[in-house]
Amino acid sequence: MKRLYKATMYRMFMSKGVRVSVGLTYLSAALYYILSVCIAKGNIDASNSGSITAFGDGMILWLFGALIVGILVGTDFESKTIHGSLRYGRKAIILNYILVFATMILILLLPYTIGSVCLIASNVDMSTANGTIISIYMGNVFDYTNGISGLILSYIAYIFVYIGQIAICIPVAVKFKKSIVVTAFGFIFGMFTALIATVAKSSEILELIYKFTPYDYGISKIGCNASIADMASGILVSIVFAGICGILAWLMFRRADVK
Amino acid sequence: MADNMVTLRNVTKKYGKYNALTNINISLERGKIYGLIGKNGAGKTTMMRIIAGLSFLSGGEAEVNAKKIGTLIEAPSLNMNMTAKQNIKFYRMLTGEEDDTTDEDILTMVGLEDTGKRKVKDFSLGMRQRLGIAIALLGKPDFIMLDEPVNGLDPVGVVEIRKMIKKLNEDMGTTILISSHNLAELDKTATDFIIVDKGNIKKIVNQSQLDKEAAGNLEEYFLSVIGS
Repeated sequence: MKRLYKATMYRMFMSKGVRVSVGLTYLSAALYYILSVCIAKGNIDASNSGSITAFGDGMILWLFGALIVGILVGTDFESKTIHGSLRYGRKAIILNYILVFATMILILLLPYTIGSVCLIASNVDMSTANGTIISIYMGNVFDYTNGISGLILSYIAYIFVYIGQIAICIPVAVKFKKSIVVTAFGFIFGMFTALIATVAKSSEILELIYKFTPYDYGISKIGCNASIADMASGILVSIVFAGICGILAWLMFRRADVK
Repeated sequence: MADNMVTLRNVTKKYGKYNALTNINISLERGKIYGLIGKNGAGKTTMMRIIAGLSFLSGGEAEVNAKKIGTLIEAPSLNMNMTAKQNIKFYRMLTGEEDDTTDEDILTMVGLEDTGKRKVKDFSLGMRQRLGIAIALLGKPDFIMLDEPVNGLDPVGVVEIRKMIKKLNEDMGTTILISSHNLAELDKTATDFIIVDKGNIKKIVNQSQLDKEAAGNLEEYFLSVIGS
C-alpha cells in the first residue's frame, strides 16, 4: 500500500497537468492575496472584489481539485497503468486514490494557508476589503475569540471540508474513467454548490440530508470564531462523506472489468 | 508449491450475449513457454485478461499460483508523459524493487538505452512495445503473459524479443504465456501450443507433437485444427 501511494505520487508529479494545476493554484493564491490587500488599502476599487474572488480557494480548489482527480483516476484507466496496481487489490486502489487525492488537496491549499498566515502576521486590516471572501475570513481572524487553537482547528476543518466536498469526483472518475468528464463535472458541480443549498431548503428531508454533507460547512460555519463543536462536526461529516464516496467508487469498481 | 502455475476449470466469459470463452479447462505447468494461438476474436486476450485479474469470470474457476506476474496485454500500460527510464522507475516503485542499478540493463535488453529524455508519447509503436515488455520483466516475475509481443517490431526486434523470452525461461525457469495469430513465429519460441477458436480450446500440443502432426506446414495444420 505504501509502495502504491509512493508510485502514484510519483506519477502525479511527473504529470504536466498536475504541475500546471499546482503552479496556477499558487499563482492564483498570490494574486488573490495581493489584490485583496490592494482593495483593503484602497489601491484598487472595491467593485473589483467579485472578479478577485475567482482567484480564491473556493473556485480554484474545485477547478484544479477536479482536474487532479481526473488525472489521478481517469488517466490511470486511460493509460492502463492501473494494470500494474491491481496486484494490491481493488480495495487498496480506491483507498490509495483517496489518500493521494487528500494529499493533493493539502498541496493545493498550502499557498492559501501561507497567504492567510502572512496577513495575520502583517496585521493588515482587511475589514475595508468588503465583498472578498478573504475579508470575511480575515475579519473573523482578527476578532477571533477561540484563541490560536480555534484558528488552527478552523484551518484543519477547511482542509477536511474541501477533501469531503471534492471527493464526490472520485466515484464519478471511477464510473466514467475519463479525466475530461471528471474535470467538467467537478467544475460545474463546484459552481452549483450554492444552488444545492437553495434546493435543499425546499424540503425538510433534503435540508436534513444536506446538513450531513460537507457542502453545508461554508465559511460562516467553520470560521475561526465558530464553536469547537461546529468545526469538529465539519471535520467528522467530511471524513464520513469522503468515506461514502470511496465506498461508492469501490462498489462500482470491485466487480468491473478493467479495460 | 503447486506444480501448475495456472489452472482454469470450466471457465466461461460472456460479454452480454456473446460468449468470449466457453467451458475452458486447462493447466499451465511451471517452467514452460506456452503459445496461445487463434484468429482475431478467438478468445486469446480474454483468457489472458482473466488470468491477470483484469476481467471477471462469468462462470467456472481460475487458480493462479504465481508469486509475481508480469503482463503485456493488448497495448503496453505506459505513462505517455514520462521517459522510458521514468516509466521503469514508476513500475519499479509499484513492484517494490528498490534496486535501480538494473534499470539501464533492462532498457539495454529491449534496445531502448539511447532514448534519453524522449517522452514515450514520441516513441514509435515498436518502441512502446519494447518498453511494455521491459516493464513486464520488472521485479523478476515467475509468470509472464505477453499478448502479441512482437506486434509493431522490426525483424531485428522480433529476433531479440524471441531470444530474450527463451533466455528468461532457460535461466530463471519463468513460465511464459505468449499469444499470437502467427503460428510460425510461436513455433520458434514456445514449448507447448494451445489452439483456440471461437472461445473454445481446439487442441493442446507440445513441440514434438506439433513437428510430427504439422510436418512443416504450420498454416495448413492450424487451419485444419480450427476447421477452416
